[in-house]
Amino acid sequence: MNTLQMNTFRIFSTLLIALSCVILSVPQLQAQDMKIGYVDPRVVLEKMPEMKAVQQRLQNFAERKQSELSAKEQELQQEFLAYQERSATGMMDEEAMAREEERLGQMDLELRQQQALAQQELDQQRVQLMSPLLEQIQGAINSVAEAKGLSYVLNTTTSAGDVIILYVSEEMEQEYNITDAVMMELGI
Amino acid sequence: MKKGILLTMLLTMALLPLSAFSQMKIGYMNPDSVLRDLPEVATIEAQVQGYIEEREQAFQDRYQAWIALFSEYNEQTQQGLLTEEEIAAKEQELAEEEQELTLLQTRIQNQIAARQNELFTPVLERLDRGIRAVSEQMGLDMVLNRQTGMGDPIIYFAGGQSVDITESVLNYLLENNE
Repeated sequence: MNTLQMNTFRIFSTLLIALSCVILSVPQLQAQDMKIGYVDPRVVLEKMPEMKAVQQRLQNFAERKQSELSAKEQELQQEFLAYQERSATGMMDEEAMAREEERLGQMDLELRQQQALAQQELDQQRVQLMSPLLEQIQGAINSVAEAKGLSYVLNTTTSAGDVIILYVSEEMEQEYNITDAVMMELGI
Repeated sequence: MKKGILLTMLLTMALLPLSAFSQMKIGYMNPDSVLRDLPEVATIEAQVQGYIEEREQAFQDRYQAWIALFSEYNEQTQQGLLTEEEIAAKEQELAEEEQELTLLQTRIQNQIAARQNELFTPVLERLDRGIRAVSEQMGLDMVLNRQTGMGDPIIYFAGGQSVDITESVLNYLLENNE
């Protein structure tokens, strides 16, 4: 090889290396953009030891409210039966009947309002008790995602039971289902 | 000779990442729309509807019987035909029957849910197999649901490169009736 040939070869190979670097970097960048993992939070929640306590507390709360309300419901039923009996005997005039009906209607309305309120309180309790657990899970997801270099972590299923991820290939499942990794991170 | 090796090496290096770092291929679909277009689903829905009507009729019959009992009791007390003991017994009977009615209502709701579940499970499993087959054929890594059952969007936007497999899954299921 003479000097000229040498130089041409050097320039040529430098260019080729530069070119291949560009080619190399493009798909790598795209691949980094597209690394998506996923988690089934229900599986994680079910395994968390704190979850049992949360469920127990929610159940106790619901039962307490239920017994309060059913006592009121029975009271209303009895009053209604008593009113029917009295009106059947014809001992009440129309004005008294209208008054009594209004009073019973008011009681019924109040009972319904209390039922709605109890449901609201139960929902609030659930949010309050669950949020520390969800925060823990979120923290573990963050660590696992960072370690794996994921850009996104999706939820598989909504709390209402709607499926978000319909299909995952086997390779994808092995690499990007981080549910187990999240549980390991949480030490469960 | 040296040049040839270097070139081959460089070319291999340049080509390799394309396969090693291939992008995730993500598709999406609307499974509810596939279910709506499957002929067997209409049949199942009719079966469920028939069952609901039958169960509701059963409840209505019992409820009407209760109303008849109540009216009879009302009339008899109004006419003063009943002794206090009889009134107490009738009231007891009415209250018990009313409780039975409430229980029956819950039981019916559970029965309907169970029947619905039983009838729809095979179709949902078939749909799942269809999604799997089409995804494998198309080499997809992941398929997302387009929206929730309530119609809330999960995917707001799908650009030009995106793959909607709804049609393909429907066609697959229509052609492969296993």
